[in-house]
Amino acid sequence: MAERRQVVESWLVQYKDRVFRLAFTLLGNKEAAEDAAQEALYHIARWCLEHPDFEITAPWVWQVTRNAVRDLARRTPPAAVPLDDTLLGGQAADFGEDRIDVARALVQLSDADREVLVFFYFLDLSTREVAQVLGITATAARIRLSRARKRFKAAYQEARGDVQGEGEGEG
Amino acid sequence: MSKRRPRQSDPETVLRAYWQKQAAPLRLSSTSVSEALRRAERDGAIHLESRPRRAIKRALLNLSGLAVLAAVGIIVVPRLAKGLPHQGISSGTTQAAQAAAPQPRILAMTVSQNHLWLSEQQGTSLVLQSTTPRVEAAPLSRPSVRLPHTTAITARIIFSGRSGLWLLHTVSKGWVLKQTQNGGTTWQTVHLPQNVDTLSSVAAFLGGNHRLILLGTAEDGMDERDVQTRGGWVSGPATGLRGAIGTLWRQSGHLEASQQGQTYVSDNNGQSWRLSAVFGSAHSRSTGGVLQALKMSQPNLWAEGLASGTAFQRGLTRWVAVSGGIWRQSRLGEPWTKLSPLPFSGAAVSVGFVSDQTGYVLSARGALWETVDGGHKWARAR
Repeated sequence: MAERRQVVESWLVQYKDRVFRLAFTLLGNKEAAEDAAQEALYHIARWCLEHPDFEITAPWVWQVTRNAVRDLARRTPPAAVPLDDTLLGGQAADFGEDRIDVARALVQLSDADREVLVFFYFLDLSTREVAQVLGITATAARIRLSRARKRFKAAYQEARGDVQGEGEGEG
Repeated sequence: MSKRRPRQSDPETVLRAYWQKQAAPLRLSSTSVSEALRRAERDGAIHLESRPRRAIKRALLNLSGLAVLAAVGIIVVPRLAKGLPHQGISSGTTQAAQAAAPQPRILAMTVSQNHLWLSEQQGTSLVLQSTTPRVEAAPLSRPSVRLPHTTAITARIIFSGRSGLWLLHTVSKGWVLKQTQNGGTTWQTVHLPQNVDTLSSVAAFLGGNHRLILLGTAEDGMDERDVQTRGGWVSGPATGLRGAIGTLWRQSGHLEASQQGQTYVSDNNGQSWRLSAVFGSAHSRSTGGVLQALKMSQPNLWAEGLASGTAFQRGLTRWVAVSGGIWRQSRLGEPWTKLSPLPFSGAAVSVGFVSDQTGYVLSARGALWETVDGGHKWARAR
């Protein structure tokens, strides 16, 4: 039992930062991501301790993290992404216009679109692994990814167009 | 074609770089691992001691317990857990005492008609318990409601204002809506149309005549407004709201919804919406507007995750609990006042005030905090 505990502990140490980063990328908020990551680590630990023959894999860890994020997101509203340059204290030049445009574009996407893009571009998962994490077929994952890409591209191009236009005004 | 071929203006390349740069510096503390393991071992009832040693220890405890009983000559009956004192908790509780008596984790909290309701696990059931001593004034006919066995901890509890209680929660796929009109003795599942089941985010509130109104968004961005009528559910027109709804304010048919940095206003219970204030405006009076007003006074709060808090409305007064602290707005249009920082680390999942002075905030870790001075000082309640 002690040996198994050590093994599980080593897995948690190995994955804790990546779980945190994934949660942050999905939630957009550091405090919420910490809570979600903590819950994910707890579920991972409990499952592994109760199933001594179980060997964790990265897609399984991402799946657990995703579930923890979804549970937390349903209890707390998602953090918005800063849209206004002034919020950054005049650091737009350092922040990079590209990043602001990406942020604006991401805000336009649905949670599902954002999610599939995170798994594919942030975690660098294959479409097969994305399918495994999302619990869908590989074909469905490819279709979902394709649609998300198109929507992001359109939103990104629109965001870049806004920057060069008159800017935001009173609604 | 390789998906990873970099191009200067390739939005996908920019997207990958954006996330890498944002998340790269993040590190989770090493204590998170030990805490996760400790909780897993405790909850899974996995002990480090061997079974024979546990059995001997248990036997010794039993023997010593019997000896005490014999000496005293009485039978000790375990005290039942009591509800929360309405006047506030004793300040003499030390951290050591709290650690020695682990509190059950509060799973959800709701304030309705000046009563605080807590839901926590009791055995295999989830029970919603009123903490107000004057139970005859409680919105339900009894002070506790046994929730359906399958209730998830993310359930949203909506009181009808009379004797009814709605329970809306998510399941693995979709949403479940249940109603009780007899204090939880029986629950009826309310039919949800197929399109509502696919919603990724739902805000629920009571409209006129205690009808339940759901406002939701689906994965592809389509929006719904469903109002329960005698004939069933009615789908409303698409409203243009995308993504999950953050804060939803409601007053006499006037709704204000904050969503992904935008504020929308409806004057007809959600039938139509207009963009109320675009982020960045310095002159808008709108306070749906929770985000907008707070942003004008404290711009950096946005970067701290302003929208990841929770909100509560009582009469004309509003409170929000966000990562940066707890704020109050006395009336629409007035500036927001910061009452205090959050008394705990991590996110708040619920805030509610039973009076102008007494309020509660629930942390994501299930700890309940109480204030009796209007939100300036907080103490651990449960």
